[in-house]
Amino acid sequence: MKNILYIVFIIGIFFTSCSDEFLDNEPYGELTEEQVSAPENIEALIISAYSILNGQGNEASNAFNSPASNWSFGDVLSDDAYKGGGGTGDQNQIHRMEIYATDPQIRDVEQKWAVLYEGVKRSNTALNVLNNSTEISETLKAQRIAEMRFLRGHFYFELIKLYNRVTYIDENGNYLSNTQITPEQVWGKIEDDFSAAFAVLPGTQSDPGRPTKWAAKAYLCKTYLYQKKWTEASLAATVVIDDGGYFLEPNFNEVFLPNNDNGSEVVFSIQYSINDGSPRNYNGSIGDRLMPPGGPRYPAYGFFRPSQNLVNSFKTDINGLPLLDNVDVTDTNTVDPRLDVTVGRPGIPYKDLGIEYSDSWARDLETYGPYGPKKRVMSANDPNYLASWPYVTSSNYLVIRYADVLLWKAEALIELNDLQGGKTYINMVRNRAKTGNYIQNLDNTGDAANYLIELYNDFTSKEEAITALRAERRLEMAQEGQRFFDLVRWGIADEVINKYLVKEQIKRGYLSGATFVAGKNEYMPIPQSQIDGGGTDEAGNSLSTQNPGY
Amino acid sequence: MKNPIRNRSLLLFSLKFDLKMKITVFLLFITLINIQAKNYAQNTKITLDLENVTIEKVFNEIESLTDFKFLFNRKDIDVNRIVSVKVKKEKVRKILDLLFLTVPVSYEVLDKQIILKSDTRKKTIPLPIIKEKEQQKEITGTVTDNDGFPLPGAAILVKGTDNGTTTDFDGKYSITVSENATILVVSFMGFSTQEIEINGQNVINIKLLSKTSSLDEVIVTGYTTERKSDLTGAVAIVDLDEVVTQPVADVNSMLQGRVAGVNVMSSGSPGAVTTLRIRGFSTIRNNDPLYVIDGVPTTTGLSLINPNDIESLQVLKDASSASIYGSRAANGVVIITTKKGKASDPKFSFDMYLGSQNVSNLPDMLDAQEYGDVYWQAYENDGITPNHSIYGNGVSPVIPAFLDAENTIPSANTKWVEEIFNPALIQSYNINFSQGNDKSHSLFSLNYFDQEGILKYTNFNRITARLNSDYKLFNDKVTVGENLTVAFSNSVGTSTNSLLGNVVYDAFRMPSIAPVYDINGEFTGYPPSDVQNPLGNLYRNKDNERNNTKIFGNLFAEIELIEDLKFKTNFGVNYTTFKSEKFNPTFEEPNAHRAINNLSVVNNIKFDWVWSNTLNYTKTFNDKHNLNVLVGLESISNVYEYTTASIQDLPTNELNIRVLNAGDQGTQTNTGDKIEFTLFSYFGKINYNYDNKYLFSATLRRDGTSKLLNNRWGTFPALSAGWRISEEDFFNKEGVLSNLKLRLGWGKTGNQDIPAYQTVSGFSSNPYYSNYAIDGSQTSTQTGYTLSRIANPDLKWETTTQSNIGLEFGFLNNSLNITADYFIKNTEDLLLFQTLAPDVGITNRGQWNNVGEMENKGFEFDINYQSDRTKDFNFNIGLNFAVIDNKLLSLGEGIDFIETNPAVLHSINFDQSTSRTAVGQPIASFYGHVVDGIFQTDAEAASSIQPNAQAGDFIFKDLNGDGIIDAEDRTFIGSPHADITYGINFSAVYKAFDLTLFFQGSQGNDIYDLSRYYNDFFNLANYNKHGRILNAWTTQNTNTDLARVSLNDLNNNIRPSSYYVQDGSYFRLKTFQVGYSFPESIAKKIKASRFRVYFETYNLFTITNYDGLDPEIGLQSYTSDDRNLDIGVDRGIYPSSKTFTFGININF
Repeated sequence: MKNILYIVFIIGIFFTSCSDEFLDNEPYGELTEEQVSAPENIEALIISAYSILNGQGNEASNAFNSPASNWSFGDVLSDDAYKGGGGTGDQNQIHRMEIYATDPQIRDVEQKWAVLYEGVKRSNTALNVLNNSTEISETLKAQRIAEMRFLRGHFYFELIKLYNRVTYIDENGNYLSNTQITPEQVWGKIEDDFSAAFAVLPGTQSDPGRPTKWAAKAYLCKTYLYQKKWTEASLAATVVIDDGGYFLEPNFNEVFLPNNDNGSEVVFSIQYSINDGSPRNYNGSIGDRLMPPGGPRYPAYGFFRPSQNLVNSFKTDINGLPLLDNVDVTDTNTVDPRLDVTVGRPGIPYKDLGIEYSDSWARDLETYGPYGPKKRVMSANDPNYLASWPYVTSSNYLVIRYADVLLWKAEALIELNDLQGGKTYINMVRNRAKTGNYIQNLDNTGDAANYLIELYNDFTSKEEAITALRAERRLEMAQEGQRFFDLVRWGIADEVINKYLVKEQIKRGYLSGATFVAGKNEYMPIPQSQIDGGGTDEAGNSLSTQNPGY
Repeated sequence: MKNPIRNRSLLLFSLKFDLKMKITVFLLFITLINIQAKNYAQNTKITLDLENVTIEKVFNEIESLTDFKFLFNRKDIDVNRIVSVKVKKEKVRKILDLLFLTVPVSYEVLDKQIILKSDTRKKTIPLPIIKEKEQQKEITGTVTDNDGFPLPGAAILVKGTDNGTTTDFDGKYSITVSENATILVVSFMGFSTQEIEINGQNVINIKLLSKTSSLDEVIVTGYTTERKSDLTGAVAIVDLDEVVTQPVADVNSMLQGRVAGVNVMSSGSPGAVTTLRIRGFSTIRNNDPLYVIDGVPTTTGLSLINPNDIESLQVLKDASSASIYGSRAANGVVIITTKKGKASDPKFSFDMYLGSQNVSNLPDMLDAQEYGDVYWQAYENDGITPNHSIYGNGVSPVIPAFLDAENTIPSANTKWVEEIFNPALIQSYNINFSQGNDKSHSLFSLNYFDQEGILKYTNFNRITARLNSDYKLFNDKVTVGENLTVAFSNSVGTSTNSLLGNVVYDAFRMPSIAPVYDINGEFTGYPPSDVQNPLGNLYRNKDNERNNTKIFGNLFAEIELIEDLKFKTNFGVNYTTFKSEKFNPTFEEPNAHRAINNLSVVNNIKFDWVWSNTLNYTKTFNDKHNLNVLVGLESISNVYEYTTASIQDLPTNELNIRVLNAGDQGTQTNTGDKIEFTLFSYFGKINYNYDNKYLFSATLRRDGTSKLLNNRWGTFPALSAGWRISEEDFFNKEGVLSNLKLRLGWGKTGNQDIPAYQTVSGFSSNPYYSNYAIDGSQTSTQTGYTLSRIANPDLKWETTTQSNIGLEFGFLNNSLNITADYFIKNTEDLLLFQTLAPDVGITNRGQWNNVGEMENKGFEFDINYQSDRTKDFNFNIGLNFAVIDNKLLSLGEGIDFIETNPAVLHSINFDQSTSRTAVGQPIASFYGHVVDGIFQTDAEAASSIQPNAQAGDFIFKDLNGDGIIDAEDRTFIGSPHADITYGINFSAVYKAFDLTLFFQGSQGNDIYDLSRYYNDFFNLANYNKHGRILNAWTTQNTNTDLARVSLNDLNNNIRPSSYYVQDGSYFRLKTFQVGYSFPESIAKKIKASRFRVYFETYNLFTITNYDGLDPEIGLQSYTSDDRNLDIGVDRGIYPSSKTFTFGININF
């Protein structure tokens, strides 16, 4: 009997209900949704929204598929650059994009989209928490809301620029697929965000990473420009030029130095840092990590190689003006001094390394030719260059710089038929190139090449002015991820690129089969996964629709 | 007394560990008080020394020495039987056991009375009786089992007479025989009877062999043991003696081909994780089985367990056997019981092997001239005038003296794949001490295993120590004990089977013209390519050790509360630390260099504990109703934490400088995180059999997990039944068919193996993607907090329902056994990280959800024949095979397929998506275009729908018929799953010689040879190519399946296609072993009871059409979560080695 009693005790343990407490584990190292709305934590949500600007959204080392600089989307797809790397099979999907065989399943197409929506999401999350926060001071709250709207504007701008027909999600979770909102409506939303940001943001920020009022106005200007709202664009540019307090750096080759990456020319830039305690230095220029040109001081990733066509476009005539004949540059030709800031050319000293760039640097000379990237590559001597994997730099990516704004102003004026006004702003940009330092030879005894650049005289026709403007944008903004989008918004992508392909394929055989299809290749396809997984309407049709031609 | 306990037990888990422990101790204490020493007489020990006396005399002696009285009916008991009894301080029960071991008499002890009665159920074995004394000769010796452990009570009989005796507690015997006696017959229950020629010897030691496929074998199943004959589930028992000599670190690897339905997936390199797939892939994420080692569940691999320590290994394959481990049993359960000391004098054994591992089947890459020639062919095909930075611009390629302008890199003709491999030593030493008596047992073992890698500068070594002991207390009512192992391992490994950072792959890619060393003796490379010198890479990595320390073991106590009812408490611990130091020195090669060195250090700690309590009631009613009831509960806690730190720019590359303090403090980094999960379970099991004919078993387990929230608890039932047809009266067991059993089983098992915390949302900081230098700093950031995940509080258990039908046949007195099983396994509510549309962002682009359904159906067959083991020549032949069909039935609404996580795709596959896990297909099927031949003329190409094709390009099938070849024309082009996997074992013994052959293979599986991406296509021109490219299409060589070589590849021949898919079937002689056991006369000289030497080869030959390094591709090692989505993709794996070993086994 006694035995049984004790057995009952033990069985008692078995069938007492287990306290769920044993199974309740709080995650370590996390803030709850409640905690995150404390004012100091909201700041961390905001930082997180800024953080995605660089295109790095997970722990993988493939931000080059979604680069902030758009080197693949903006330059490789244009007439300015080749993919590069170890052959056409290396990052084959970018090769597919380069020969306009882009399809909706291409990795970069999807990843870039996802990263930009991550930006939208983080901005919206911060906005939502900010809107509901009562603890944070009204002034600060308003300013932070303006910052987040600026960021959201940026992300949508990038999206519409690349994909045209995009999903729109706001801070309250309202979701409109690309069949439920038109591109025009999205442009309107982007304008609203930048306008609202302009209204609230201060003229200066103690944190240079945060946008100022003028940055918002400049972005608004760009938004107008992309919609061909020339009057509004011109007015907005004027505000930035008159009140923004920006100056061009005196020397073109110093614009991209780390010391100037928040300098007087910088309107808005993405802040990069290295050796900041992050285990893999993903806060550096991670999207551009395949750019190092090879040779004795850099790893030979060898991607993003300037095209022959781009090099040729720097050739100048006897008047120091662009000679647009697309005949290969020779040593005796005169060239715009910006060429050797922009492109690594054999026989020209590379940065301050004390050595000349050589075609042996090129990773796959046979396929992608001798030229290497230079403009946004840091000197290997610079402490802001990380001489170990992933070989990134802390030099910011300049989203908008003052020269860009000046050329917008010029473009708007020319489109509004103020040809002389346009000339003035183009010449402001050219004048800096002309009067600044030129790349010197290794002995420092003279110019490294035959440089000649002069200012424009009066334009005789709108057509001439437009040609000059477009040429100037190409030279000044080369390798900054802009060219393709400019060609598209100018409506000349089809003409320019197909012409380029015909000539370029003689040197670059892999371009032989490539054709730019008008009405299709201006925009990236909508990722297949968006169409497949983005939900369906009541009739069972996908909520998201594909761009034409894909 | 009652209430306080009840109240406190309610609190049991509120204070987690501490209080629970206290309560157990308290309860144990109560229990112990209860089991007072009652009936001391039963435990009285006596000493007897009686020789050749009647059994009645023995009774009298016992009666005189104790309070016992014998009661019996004289017609039942032959009181005149002559026996010899020699015991020292033995319990009466033991003496009785001995006395009646071989006669049909059973006894019962009732208080102080010993009742003897006739027992016809007991088999009569020849009676060891000496009728008359005609002693002319005395023979003495010891009877042991195969491992040298004494067998007390074995019967020894002079053949043809009724002169016999039995062995004593130490297995010793002494028998007087007549001069003309020639043969001794030795028998013992559970062992084969053996006849020994006397041949004038005075000392004959006899080793008995346990009967194969003994149906009485007791095996460990869930929390309890069962007789094999009583099993109703699909349980495979692995004979470890046969596999333990295999020269591999990990017991998992030893199971390849041994068990039908169990596949071994390894990742090659020494010490790397090897895992099992039991009955296919039942889920998408983690498919690793649960291991239960001495009652302690663990999911981490076994590379730190010494295979020599394993006494028995069972694989619970079906749900009815595994569901007692409900929560984590869906992928099958491997039960491992380690060796225990046995009742004997101290024993000592020593086992070692030493061998050489060799790489074989190296691919034949292009040599320096061939590479140039093919390059020129590519130029010609593309219509380009040859102009190469190394091979010049002539009409044919010219090998220059130097590859660089500075003349430091001489041209060469290096066989890179041979350069990185070398024959490597493998060795293992094992010692084992054990001892015991009827009150306590202990075993101590020590093993040193050392495997150098066949890849130069890689290695793995391990030291394990084990101490297992147990003690019987309180009149044997209480058993307490512990099993403890401590292991240290040390390895230098390298990444293989990924496209980036894989040294094997780099050796494929490095052109032969590149020398290993430049003129200064430094590692160098090929100027136009970015490939690091593979040997240099291995060399620079040679000191980057990874250390593991593991403390694994359990403490247990078993208490017999009342007769037939036992309480068992078991507390197990698995504590593992991992430390790795990786130093990347500066180096300089033509197009690959590291200007700044760096050091990174990783420390992980994993601490799991499990506490289980069970009550087990076993009783036989009316001789026919056998009942076994088990109830229990279990709590499990699992904590994992890690810290990492790194620094750059250490002043030198020397070994002694490699500490974090030595570098540039401005570059320091650190990270760390901690994850915890807990499980709590109730379970019960009832086994009932009627008259050993009709077997029933029912199991119910209920598990709660901290990983889930709203649906935290899962219930997992199982039912099974068996019918031992051969036990029926109508069955003639003496016929050809000697055993026949039918088994039926059904059950559910669960899976909750998702990352912790997926049910709650939160915000966390992540140094990779949430910080930002808002203040413009170049070298610091501010911390951001990003949404940690898209939480799903409604997640629930994934459930696998499995039905099994099995038949067991025994023929010819069970010398031929056949087991056949058919199963259907259906996993529902698949736990899947469901990738969402990309407009949810990239950081948490998905959510854990219960979506989808997976099915595995299969047939397993096992046949084994053992010839008469008492013969001089005897052999065993076994064959097993399995046919398993895997199919994904659903992935939830709107999702048709998933692919490898893009976050890992870059480094492992170079962004090539090769595999797709799609509804209606087996998991991880290969996916791509279908190559439908090669265009033979430009005209044919021009008239095709492939716009840029030329003669020599692949013809891709337009599967959707839309006149365009695009991504929509991809389809399933192969399966990594075998149609059939099999193993064939043959072993034979002739006198002192033994031979084992073990073949293993797989038929009908495909391999996606991704190494062809670089090695077969010239649009990755600066990498070396495989020799087969010499057979590429040209106008002269049109009968080929290799496309023309082209730098431009306008037709995109390189795209993922059926071209890459190869037949992966193989047939391999896994082991071949010849052994010789020295005669006892020689063994005796070194005081050994057994002295055997053997020679073994491992992977001696492989028959396969696959032309890669090794058809056993296994799994990626990158994470256990994603690797099931790209099975069988070859990216240059660490190949299996061909190994020759020499080994010694000695028992003292």
